[in-house]
Amino acid sequence: MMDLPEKIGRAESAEIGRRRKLRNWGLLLALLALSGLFYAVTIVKLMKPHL
Amino acid sequence: MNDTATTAGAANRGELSPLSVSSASGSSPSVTADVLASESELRDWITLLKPRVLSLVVFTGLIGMVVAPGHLHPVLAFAAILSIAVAAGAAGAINMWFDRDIDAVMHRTRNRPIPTGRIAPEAALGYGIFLAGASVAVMYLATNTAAAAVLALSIGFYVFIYTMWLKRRTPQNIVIGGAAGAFPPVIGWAAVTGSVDLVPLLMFAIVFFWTPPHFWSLALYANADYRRAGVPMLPVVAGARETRRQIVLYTLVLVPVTLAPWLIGFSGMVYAISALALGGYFLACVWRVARDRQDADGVSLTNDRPARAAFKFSILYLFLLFGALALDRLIGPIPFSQLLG
Repeated sequence: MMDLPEKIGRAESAEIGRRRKLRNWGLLLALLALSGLFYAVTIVKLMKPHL
Repeated sequence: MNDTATTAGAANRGELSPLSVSSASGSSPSVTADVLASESELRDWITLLKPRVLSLVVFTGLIGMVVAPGHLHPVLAFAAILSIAVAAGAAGAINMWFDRDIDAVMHRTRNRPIPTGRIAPEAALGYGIFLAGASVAVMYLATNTAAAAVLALSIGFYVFIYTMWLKRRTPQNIVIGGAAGAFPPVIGWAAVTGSVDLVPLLMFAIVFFWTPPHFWSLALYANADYRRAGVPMLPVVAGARETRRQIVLYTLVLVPVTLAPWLIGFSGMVYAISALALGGYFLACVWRVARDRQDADGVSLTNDRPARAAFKFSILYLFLLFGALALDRLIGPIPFSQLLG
């Protein structure tokens, strides 16, 4: 017999959604920080091409 | 990340119970719960990076950059240090993924995010691989190929040689595996100069010979934990008495090695005197470990008090030794007669 996925309650579903949203914000911030770092490194490299 | 694992883990810790947060309520308790949940989840992701180990890695990497001849723009230097820190953290996350079975049975590690189910193993692995790749890429873009290559080598060494190969197979695991922790000053030096010289190799040797007395001091009093997990640390395989002997032997090798930068003329008397004084005190610490009151089997009768003291001092020792090396380089050579006043 095929295993059916376990049903989750409304509260649990809301909790999962909330955590997913928080994680997405965290990822966005990390990517913005990485973009900022790349930008700064590029500017410095362009200023000093011998480096 | 596995959401079910997250919620189950949070419940296990007795922190925020996810199901206690009503989906219908938009009131302040929910907002508080949001903040608490995000903080604890963020803490778990940071824990995967082994932040307590990072300080020494970052410090020795920074000293490698400071003492290297040449100049690196502060932004690039920051990117390089960040890369070293992230790479070390990434290797730590992959280590936690691989060692999740032994972490679960060791008292010291059983509350880590993976054994408690707060973070899914495959999520931790993906996180580690992504950060490892990103750190090498940033290092390459910010500095040069040599630094990026040594950084990649250090990650590979820690993950494949130490974690996957040596750790569970030989009591020499931390002797050879300790090389992974010795790479940061070499990376820092390579980031500035674009090459690897004799001096960074000497700094590598210092950390390499420092690692066994440091880790075996810890292993002496965490012996039961390693035995339970089946990790063949030296005290488990050869006994506490032999471990104490090896700690003394490695420290006896370490102290002359720390004098090498002075012997080759790279550093002056400030460093030489610091290295001698610190080495002397470290030797005294490990001698007390060897002379610890013990029973016929070598088991400590003092709850391994000297080993605990030696472990604590070993961390301070490396900080002060590398700090003295940087200070010596920054203030320039001072003749011995001037030091005496």
